[in-house]
Amino acid sequence: MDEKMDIQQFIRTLKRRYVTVAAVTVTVLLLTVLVTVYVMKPTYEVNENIVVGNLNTSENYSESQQLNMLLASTIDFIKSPTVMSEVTRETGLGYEEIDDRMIIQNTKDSQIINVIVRDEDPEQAARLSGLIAETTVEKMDSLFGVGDIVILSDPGNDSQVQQVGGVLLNIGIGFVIGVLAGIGAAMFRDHMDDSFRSSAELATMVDIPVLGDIDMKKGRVRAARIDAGKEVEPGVIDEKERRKVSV
Amino acid sequence: MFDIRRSKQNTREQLYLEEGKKSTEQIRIIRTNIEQGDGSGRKCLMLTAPGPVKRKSLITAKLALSFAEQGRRTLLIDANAREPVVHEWFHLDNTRGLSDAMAADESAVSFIQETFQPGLYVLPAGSGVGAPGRLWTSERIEQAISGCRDAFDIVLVEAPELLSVADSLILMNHCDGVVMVTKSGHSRPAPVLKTKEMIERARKPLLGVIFQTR
Repeated sequence: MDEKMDIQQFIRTLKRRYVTVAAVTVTVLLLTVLVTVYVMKPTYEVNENIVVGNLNTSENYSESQQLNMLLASTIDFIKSPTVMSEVTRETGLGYEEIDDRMIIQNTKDSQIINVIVRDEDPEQAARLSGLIAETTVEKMDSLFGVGDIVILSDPGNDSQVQQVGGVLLNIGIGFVIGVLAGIGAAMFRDHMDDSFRSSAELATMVDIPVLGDIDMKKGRVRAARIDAGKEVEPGVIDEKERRKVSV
Repeated sequence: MFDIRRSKQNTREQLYLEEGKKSTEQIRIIRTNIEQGDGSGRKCLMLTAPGPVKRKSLITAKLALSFAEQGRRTLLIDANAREPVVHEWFHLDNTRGLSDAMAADESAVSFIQETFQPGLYVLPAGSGVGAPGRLWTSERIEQAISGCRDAFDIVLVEAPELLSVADSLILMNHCDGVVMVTKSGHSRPAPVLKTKEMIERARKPLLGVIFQTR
């Protein structure tokens, strides 16, 4: 029961403060549109796959433990200074800049490591991802003698470049956030508003007798309407009718 | 304010105590409460508000109509010299009214106008010449209103907010009781309490509040 009342109250508040909700939503939405169109540059994503170990494992099942270790080590190795310094030297980007752009993923029990690079410049993203993958494979081979690591895709292939998130997606997110922020603002305003909502509230708070409520909107009493149509009452209605005729 | 008096037809429709309208019954309840309660025997009632209340003048006009409806000789005085509207509800001429009577330092009886409702008379605010500060003195109000009181059973004064306009404070001293008009979602506790305090300081009975729900 209590819960139901709360929801009713919530809806009532939203109805009353719909202007706030709409205003905040529109503002946030406009802001997102402006930011996505004029400020934010589109981001591109390149996915590079590194295959660790021999995919044809029929001969050595027992090595699966070792394979897992190799896989984990390779993932760590990509982020290690050995690879990073090489990539830094080649691209001229700092450690953190590369780290910000790079995501390394590995699905459980999979032998493939995904190196995802996001950048505002599609060419740089492709170059960076290719470089990271190549360097990793190269260094693994030269430093540890691990030969069965292969880059799956052809580096520098532009077809892999994808745009991350569109204007539409951003607007959609902006709309949802706007609505939520609007509801929040409405609730906040309602919470801060100490104005009287009912005559009972007023009577108890300020100790003044209430002479009556009045609803100035076009509310009608059902029973009275039927009466009004049938009988002609003396008073104002009469007068109104009379005037109409005389005019 | 302007959207509620778009056309002549519209203002009339809003003013009439039309049968079956919710507000009509409510205004009659309010009238009865005034009559039966503390307001019985009090002749001159002032309607004020703690802050700007939309349609307050309409509520006052409707209340005056409901008094007149009962066959009582009712006078509605528009004391809102800064923003007179009562004459618009009744489609009356506002060139001569209360402020003119006070400027001339004479009784306002001659400026009272008849309305469509038998028994209801309106004293418009007037064209408002001169500075209100000089015009609104206790003596001038006394002079202007005293004559009007005797000829009527009940006098309703549509007054501006007590907290912001000094005129209504002076005017209150010449009334027998005060009614406060509040509005849901607009009237806050602080101004309501302050207005109540001012009325009490003037030793005038606060008959009660009219609460406008919408």
